[in-house]
Amino acid sequence: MQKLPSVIEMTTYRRHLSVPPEDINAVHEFLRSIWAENPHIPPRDQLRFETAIIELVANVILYSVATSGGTCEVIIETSESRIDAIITDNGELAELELDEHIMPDEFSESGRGIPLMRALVDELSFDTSENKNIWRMSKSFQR
Amino acid sequence: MDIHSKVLGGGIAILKLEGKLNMVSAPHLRQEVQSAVAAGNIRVAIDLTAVDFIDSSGLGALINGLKSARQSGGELRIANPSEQVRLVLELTNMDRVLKAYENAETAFCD
Repeated sequence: MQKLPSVIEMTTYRRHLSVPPEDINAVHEFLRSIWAENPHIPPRDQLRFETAIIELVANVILYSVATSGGTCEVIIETSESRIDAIITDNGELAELELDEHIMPDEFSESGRGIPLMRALVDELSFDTSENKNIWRMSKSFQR
Repeated sequence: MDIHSKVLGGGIAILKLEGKLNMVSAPHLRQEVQSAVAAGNIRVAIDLTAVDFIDSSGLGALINGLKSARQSGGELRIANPSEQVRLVLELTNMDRVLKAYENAETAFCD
């Protein structure tokens, strides 16, 4: 069994995404390398956080970057008991009230992204600043 | 994502998916289900054994396929979802509509 260090310092990972030619699979690869470097994060929490991040970046690509040709940056911070993400893009500015997005009816083919993300992580927020869309999400975990 | 299709007879088609069912691959799945239904295979079993990840786009494609099959008098069923797929189905309440069967080959044996 791999021995884990007793104290884990905060580490920041950055990834610029150019869409196209890159797509959401580049974010899966990015996260895979982060999980490999952070074996103290339980698989269950990796799974939930990755599901939320992919959902978020997919929405950023679909509704902002792809339509206006902007770029997206994904910043992930890992620490002893918490994962944080900041996702910014300079595509079309969004107007969103997260509380207004509730789970749609069962036969709807879209609209589940935001409620799904909120169910997966502890905190999710959206803001705009300096012509950028800024998403933040975080999740705590126990080693 | 790779999609392998197999016709069992009796209007049943099995689609075996491999990879990630996300915004990149979801249109491919929609097309494959619609092709199966258009060919008369209105009972479609989706084998999710080799799908390690799904997002809401992928879920939308499954629901699209379910509606396509039902509009033709058929049904769409899913089989053997991974832990991540089960998590997404549960958190979106879609496990009520897309009940998971153990095996795609026998999903329509009732």
